[in-house]
Amino acid sequence: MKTNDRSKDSITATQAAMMTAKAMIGTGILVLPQSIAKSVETPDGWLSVLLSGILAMLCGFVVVKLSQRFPGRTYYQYSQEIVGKWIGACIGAGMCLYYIFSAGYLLRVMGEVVRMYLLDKTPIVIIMLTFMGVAIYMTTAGINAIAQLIELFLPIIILIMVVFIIFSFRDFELDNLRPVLGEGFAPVLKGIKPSILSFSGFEVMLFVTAFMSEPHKAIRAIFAGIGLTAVLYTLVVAVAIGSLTVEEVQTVTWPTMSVAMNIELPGGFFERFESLFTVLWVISMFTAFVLYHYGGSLGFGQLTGKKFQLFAYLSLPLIFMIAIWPSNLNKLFKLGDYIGYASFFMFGIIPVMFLILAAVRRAQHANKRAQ
Amino acid sequence: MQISARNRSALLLIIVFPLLLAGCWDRNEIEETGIALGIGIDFPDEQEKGARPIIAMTHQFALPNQFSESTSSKVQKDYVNMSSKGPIVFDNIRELSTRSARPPNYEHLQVIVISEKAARAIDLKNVINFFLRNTETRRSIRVVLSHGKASDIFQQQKSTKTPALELRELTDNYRKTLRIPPPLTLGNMSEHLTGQSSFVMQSAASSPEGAKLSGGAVIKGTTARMIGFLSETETVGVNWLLGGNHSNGIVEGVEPNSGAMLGYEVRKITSSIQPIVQGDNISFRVKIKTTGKLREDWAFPGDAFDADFINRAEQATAAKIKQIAEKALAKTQRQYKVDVAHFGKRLSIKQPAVWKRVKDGWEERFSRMPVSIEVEVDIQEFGTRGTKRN
Amino acid sequence: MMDDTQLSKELHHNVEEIRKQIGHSPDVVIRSFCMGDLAFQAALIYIDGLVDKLMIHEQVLKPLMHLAKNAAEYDRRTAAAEAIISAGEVKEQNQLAVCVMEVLSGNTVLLIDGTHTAIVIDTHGWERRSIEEPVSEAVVRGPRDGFTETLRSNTAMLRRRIKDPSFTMEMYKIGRRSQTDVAVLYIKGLTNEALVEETRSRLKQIDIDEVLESGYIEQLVEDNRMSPFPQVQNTERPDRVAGALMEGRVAILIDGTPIVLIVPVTFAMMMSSPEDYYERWLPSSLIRLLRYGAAFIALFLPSLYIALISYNHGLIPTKLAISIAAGREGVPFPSIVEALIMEITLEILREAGLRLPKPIGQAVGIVGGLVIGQAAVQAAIVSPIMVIVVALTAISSFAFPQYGAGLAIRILRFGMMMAAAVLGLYGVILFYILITVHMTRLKSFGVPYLSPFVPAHPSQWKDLFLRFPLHMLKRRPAMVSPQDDKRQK
Repeated sequence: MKTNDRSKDSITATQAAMMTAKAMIGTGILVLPQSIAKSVETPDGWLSVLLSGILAMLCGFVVVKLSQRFPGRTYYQYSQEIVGKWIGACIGAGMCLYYIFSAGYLLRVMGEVVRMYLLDKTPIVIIMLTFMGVAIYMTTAGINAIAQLIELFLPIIILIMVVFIIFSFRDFELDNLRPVLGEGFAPVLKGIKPSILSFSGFEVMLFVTAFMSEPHKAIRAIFAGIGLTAVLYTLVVAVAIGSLTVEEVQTVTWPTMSVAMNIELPGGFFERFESLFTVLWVISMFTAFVLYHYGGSLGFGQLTGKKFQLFAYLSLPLIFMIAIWPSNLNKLFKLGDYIGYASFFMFGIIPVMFLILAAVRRAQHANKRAQ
Repeated sequence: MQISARNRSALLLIIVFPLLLAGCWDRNEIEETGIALGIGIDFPDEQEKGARPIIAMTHQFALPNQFSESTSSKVQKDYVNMSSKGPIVFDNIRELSTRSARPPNYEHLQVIVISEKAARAIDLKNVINFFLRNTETRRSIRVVLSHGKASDIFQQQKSTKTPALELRELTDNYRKTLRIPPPLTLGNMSEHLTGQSSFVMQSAASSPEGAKLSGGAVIKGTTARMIGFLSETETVGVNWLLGGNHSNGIVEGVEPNSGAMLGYEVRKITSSIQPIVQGDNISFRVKIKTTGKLREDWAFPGDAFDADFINRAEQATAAKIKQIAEKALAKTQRQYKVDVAHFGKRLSIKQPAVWKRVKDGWEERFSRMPVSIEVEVDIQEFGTRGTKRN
Repeated sequence: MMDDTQLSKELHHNVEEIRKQIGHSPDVVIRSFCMGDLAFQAALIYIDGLVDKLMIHEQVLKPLMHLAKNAAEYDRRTAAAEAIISAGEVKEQNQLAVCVMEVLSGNTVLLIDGTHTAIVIDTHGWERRSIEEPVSEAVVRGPRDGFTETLRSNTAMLRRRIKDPSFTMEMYKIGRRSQTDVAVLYIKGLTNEALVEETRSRLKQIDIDEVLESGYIEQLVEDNRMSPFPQVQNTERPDRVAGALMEGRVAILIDGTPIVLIVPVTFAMMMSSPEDYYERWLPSSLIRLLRYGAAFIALFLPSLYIALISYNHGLIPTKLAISIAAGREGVPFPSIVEALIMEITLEILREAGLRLPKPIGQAVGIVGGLVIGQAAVQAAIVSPIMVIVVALTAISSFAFPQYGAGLAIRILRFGMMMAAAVLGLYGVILFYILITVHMTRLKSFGVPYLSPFVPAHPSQWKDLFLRFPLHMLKRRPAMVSPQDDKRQK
C-alpha cells in the first residue's frame, strides 16, 4: 500500500548479502577448525580457508551471472528453459532435496551441540521438534520476512563472534600459528577440500537474485557475503589453532566450543562462556535453517506450481527423518561431507555448464535472427 | 495460504503439549546438586599385584548452608570431602553416587590436584581424559601437583576458608611472585600433553596453616609423567627463561663495590630464545631483558641519583639473574633432560627444515646443546628516596 | 436503518412522528410556541441535559418570540427564523430521521408549521469534565493537559497546537446504535495519502452497534488480532498526538473517551515518550537506553532465573552459586513454581492496587510487596533472591511509557518462564526467536512493526536507542513514508 514500502518480495542488496553470508555461517564455524587441522596438519589452515574463500567467490560469480540472465525468475524456473523440461525439473528437484538434506543435517548438528552443552538428558527429538515448530512459523512468512529476520540477527551473530574472538585473545598465542608455511604450500592445498565444503550456502543466490529489487547489485552482494564469511572463518580457524595448538584441535570434537571453554572472564562475572555461546549460536542455526527450509519448499512449490507454504509443512517430516537418520556423531559428520560434495557438484559444476549452455543458446538465437 | 491459522495453532499445540506433559528432563535445582569445588587424585600404596592400578579420588563439595552463615563464630566447616577408589575416574564418580543423594556437579570445579605418586605412576593423558570429555568441566580449571597425598591438600585444620577456593586463588599469585611457575589450566595441560612438550606446573604442599604453593613440578611430555620437582630458586630461574607476564618478584643482588645487598623488583620480563644453527651444531642464545625498580639497598650511601650506582646495581642484578637461570637450566636441561622453556618450539619457528630433522628424540639431543644466557637489567626508578646521605 | 422520510408541512404531524421515534421519555422536551408577530406555530425539540438551556432560552427562544416582526421581508419562513436566531451554528434539514438523530446528539430542532424544512441549532451543552493532567502518562517536563471525554474540546486542544491550514479533520459516525462521533485527523500534504485511505477504509468496514471506548475501534482495525503486541498506539496526551501528526501519522479521536488512537505504530515508537524530545538530548538518550534495559529485564529476568537455577548452574559465578544454593536450601518447590507463586502474587497485587482508591492502593502495594515478600522468605516458600528478581521485574515493567507495550511484555514474560522451565536456556532463546519472528511478521497499517530496525532505515537510527541532538533530526520517520519528509533545513 505504501509508496516506498518494500512490500511484495523485493530484497535490497544488503539483505541479499546478509542472506548469502547467513546461509554459509551455520555448522561450519563449529566443525571447520577440526577438519582443517586434520587435513592440513600444520598451523597454516587459515590460509586454506582464505584461498577457498576466493574459490567460493569464483563459484558465486558464476551463480550470479547465470541468475542475472533470467531476471525475476529463480533457478527452479529457468533451469527447465536451459536444458529442457524434464532434465531441468530433475535438477531443480535435486536442488530441493539438497536443501532438505542440508536443513536436516543442520538441525541435527544444532541438536547435538545443544544436547552436549545445555540439555544433557532431554531427548534430542524434543530439541529438534521445538526448533522446527518455531522455524515453520518463520518459513511460511515468505522471503521478505526471512530477509528482515536475517537483517536483524546477522549483526547479533557477528557481535557474538567478535566477542568470542576478543575474549579468546587471553589464551591466544601467536607462536601456535607459527611457523607460517613451515612445510611449504602443499599442506595448505590439502586444506582446501574440507574448507570449500563449508562455504556451501552461497548458492541461495540462485533464487534470492530473482527477488532482488536491484538485481544488478547481486555480484556485489554475493562477494560481500562470501567475503564476510571467509573473514569470519579465517579468524575462527586462526583463533582455534592459536589458542589450542594444531595437535589439540585435531583431538577435540567441537574445537570452537573448546576454545569457548578455555575463556575465563576477568572478575568471573559470568562463567562458562561456552553455554552462552551455544545459546546464542542457536540464533545463527535458526536463520540458516529457515533459509534452507525456504529454499527447498520454494523449489517444490515452483516445480509443481503450488504455494510453497504447503511444501514447507510437507517437508518438515522429511527433514526430521533426515535429522534422526545418522545413528552417531561420526555418521553425522559423514553425512555433512556428502552434502558438501553434492553442493560442490551442483553449485560448482552445473552452473558453469548452464552458463555456457545459456550463452550458446543466446548465440544461436542471435544467429537465427541475423539470418 | 492453504493451511489456515487454526490448523497452524493446532500444529503448535501438538508440539507444545508433550513438552508440558513430559517436560523438564534436565531440571536439576541448584540446591539439589553437590557443587564440587576441588578434586584430588591419589595413587594408593596398597595396589593389588598384577591387577590394574587403582586410583583414589577426593571430592570437595561445598556445603551451601554453612557457607552462608557469615556470623562471627563459625565453627563448622563449609565443605565436605568424600573419597572413593576405582580403576578409572568414572568408577570413582559412580561410587560417589551410591553415598551421596546429590549428584556431583562439576560446573564450578576450581582445581584438580594430582598427587606426586599418581603423576609419576600413571600416564597423565589418561588421568585428565575424563575431565576433557566431560562438558561440565571447563578447560580453565587449574591443575596442581601435590607433594604427598592430594587428599591432604583438601584438609585444613586452622583456616576457615574452603581449601579448594583458596588453592585456586593461590594459583593466580603467579603475578605477585617469581617463586611459583605460571598456573596451568586443564586446557593448557592437554595441549602440552598432545603436543608431547614438557612443562613445569605448580606444586602444592600441605601445612598446618593450609595448602601452600612451593616450587614447581616437571612433567615430561613424551611419557606424560612427572619426573621431578624444582626448588623455589630453580622455579625462579625457569620463570626468567619463560619471560612473559608482568611478574612482580624480587631479586636479591650483591653490589660489587661494597658487597652490600640489593633488592630489585621486576616489572616486566621479556626473554627471547635465538637458535643458532651451524651445520649439525645447534646452540641457543637466550636474551633476557627486564625492567623494574630498585626496592632496597643496604649500601652506604647508596646514592640512586648517581648513574654509576644504578649501573652497578643493574649489573649486580643481571649477574644474579644469570646465575639463577643457569641453575634452572642445569636442572631441567642437563639433569631431567626436558625442554620446559620451549627451545624446540623456537627452533621449529625459525628453522622449520632443521627442526624436521631433529624433531625425533629432541629432548635427548637438547640436553647436550650449549645455551648461553645474556641478561639486561634496566632500573627505571628507585622509589621516593634516592640516597641515605644528603 | 435510516429511512428517508421527508418532513411534512404539518407541524403537529412532524412532532407526532418525532415523538413516536424517540419515545415518551421524560427528558425529551418539546416546547410549542408562537413565533412573535408572525404567529407561525413552531416547536423546539431538544433533550434535557444534552443542551445548554440558557443558550436556548437567550439565543433561540427569546428572539423567536419577541423579535419576529419584520419577517415578512423573507420569502421563506425558515429564512426568517434563521435571521432571528442568534446562535452560532445553524443548518437546515428536511429528513425526519436526521432530525431525530440531531436531537439525540444534543442539538435542538426547530420545526415551523407550514414548511418542509427544520432548522437544526447547535446547542451542545452537556456537563463536561475540566481538562486535567493525564493519569496514565505522567511526565516531569511537558504540558500538563490531557484529553477529556468531549471530542470537540479534544480537537480544539490539537488545533491550538497545530495552526496549519492543511490540518484536516474527517468526521465519521461509527456504531449502529451508539452513533459515536469519530474524527480522523491528519495533515494534508504531509501524511501519506495511502495511509489515510487505508485508515478510512478500515474504519468504514466496522459494523458494530456500539463504540463505548476507543478500544473498540483499536481492536477492530488492527492487523493481527492474535498478537500480544498493540498495533495501534493510544494516548491521552495532546502533545503526543500533535507530535505523531507532525511525523506523518494519523490520529483517530473518538467521542466519549480521552484515549486517542494513533496509527501506524512501531515497536520503537512504543518505547519513546514525548518527554524524550523536551529534555536535552544526553539525558533523554540515557533514559531511553535505560528503558530498553528495563524492557529486557521485564521480559527475561524471571525466566533467566529459572533457567540458571534449574538448568544451567554453571553460568553463575561460583560464590554466587553457592550463596543462591544456600538461600534455596529448604525451599520445597522447583524454581518455576517459586517464580510463578511470586509473579502471580505480584500481578494480583498490581490489579488490586489499580482498582482501589489511590491512597489505599498504595498501601496495598507496600503491604503486599514488603510484608508478603518478607513473610514468604521467612516461611521458606521462596528464596530471598527470588524476591529480588520479582521486585526488579515489577519495577522494570513500570518503566514503559506505553501501558499497552507493558501489557504485552507481561504476557510474554509468562510464556518465557514456561519455556525456561521446560528447556532451560535453550527454551529461553527459542522463545525469544519466536517473539522476534512474530514481530518481523507483524505490521501496523502496512508498516513493519520492527522498523526502523528492519527493514533497516539507517538514517532513522538517530532517533532509536539514542535520541540525537534535535538539530540532527532533520527528517520525519521514513517508515510512514510522509509526502514531505523534511522537518528542518
